[in-house]
Amino acid sequence: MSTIDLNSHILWLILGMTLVTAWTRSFFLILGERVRVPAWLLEAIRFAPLAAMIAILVPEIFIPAGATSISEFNLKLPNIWGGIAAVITFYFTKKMLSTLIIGMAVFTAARFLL
Amino acid sequence: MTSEQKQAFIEGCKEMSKTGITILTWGLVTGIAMAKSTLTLYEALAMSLFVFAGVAQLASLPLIAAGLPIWMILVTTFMVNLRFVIFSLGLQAHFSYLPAWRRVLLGYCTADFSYLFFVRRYPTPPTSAEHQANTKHLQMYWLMGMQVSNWTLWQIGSITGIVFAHQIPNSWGLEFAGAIALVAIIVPMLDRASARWAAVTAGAVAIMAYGLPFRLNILLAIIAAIIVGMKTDRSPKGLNP
Repeated sequence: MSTIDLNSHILWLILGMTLVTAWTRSFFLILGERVRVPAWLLEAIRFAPLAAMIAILVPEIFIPAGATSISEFNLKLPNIWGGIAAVITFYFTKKMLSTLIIGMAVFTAARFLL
Repeated sequence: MTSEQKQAFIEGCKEMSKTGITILTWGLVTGIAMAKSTLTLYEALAMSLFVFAGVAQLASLPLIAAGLPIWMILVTTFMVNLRFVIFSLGLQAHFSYLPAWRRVLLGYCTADFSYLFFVRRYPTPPTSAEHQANTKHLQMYWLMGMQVSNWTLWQIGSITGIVFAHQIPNSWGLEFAGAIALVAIIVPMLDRASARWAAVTAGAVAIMAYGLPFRLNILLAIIAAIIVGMKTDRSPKGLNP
């Protein structure tokens, strides 16, 4: 891993992923003033960023690592207890750092105890 | 940059750095995953610096390890990034007047948090009067401040993860720290009944649809949350969420 061995195949892939990311993130923005986004659509997508965050977070908490579906859910999952502890801590302290520390502490304790 | 533009830019940096720990944690987790994948050190660094899309990077790693062809991995990147296509509608409403290269650059640099904080502050597009008065592009500078701060914090976390991955034992369960770090972003957004209904819906759908390929559960969760959010929303039209 110490020598500079850049595989050209991987470099093309990285370039491609960069372009695809730029394309998706500016998908409608590229169209410029040719398109007017209707007001109802803007109303609707207000919920999109919240939903995206939730959709990224919730499976991390409720689905075991490596599992492919909710059927593998069980209460011995340390993630659940760490997640609940984090939500409670954040609700009361409103502090990121304490949320992270207590959430990780409960998660770690649950891994050893359950 | 005029002094007003500079001020807007700095305010944007500050706004994003309030979320610094979350970004650093996600960057670290992603960096560690890249370093422990089949990528070499320099490949991991290049991916971090250029792709700048955490979920898509994580999704690509097992596919690279499996030796899938480039086009299949790029299709996956596109599918995993579909939420950004929806976000780009929101950006379009604010920034369609800019020159093409600026629109593409602005879009490319707008990751989840930048979009989230931008629409929280500017929920509706400028009226035509506001647009006429907008000669200083302060909204754009504010957004650029957030992007620069987000990019820098993300790279610090990610590069630290790439370089120190093998000193950090798996047993720490650091991946979970990324999840917890998101809690602090999400909980303050649950301030209205419609947002809470949308959130519960998104969570349920994201779990039910977890088995789908391309992380399509994210897209389905967004669509379901929009439907439920709109149905339960009682705020007057045009007011911010």
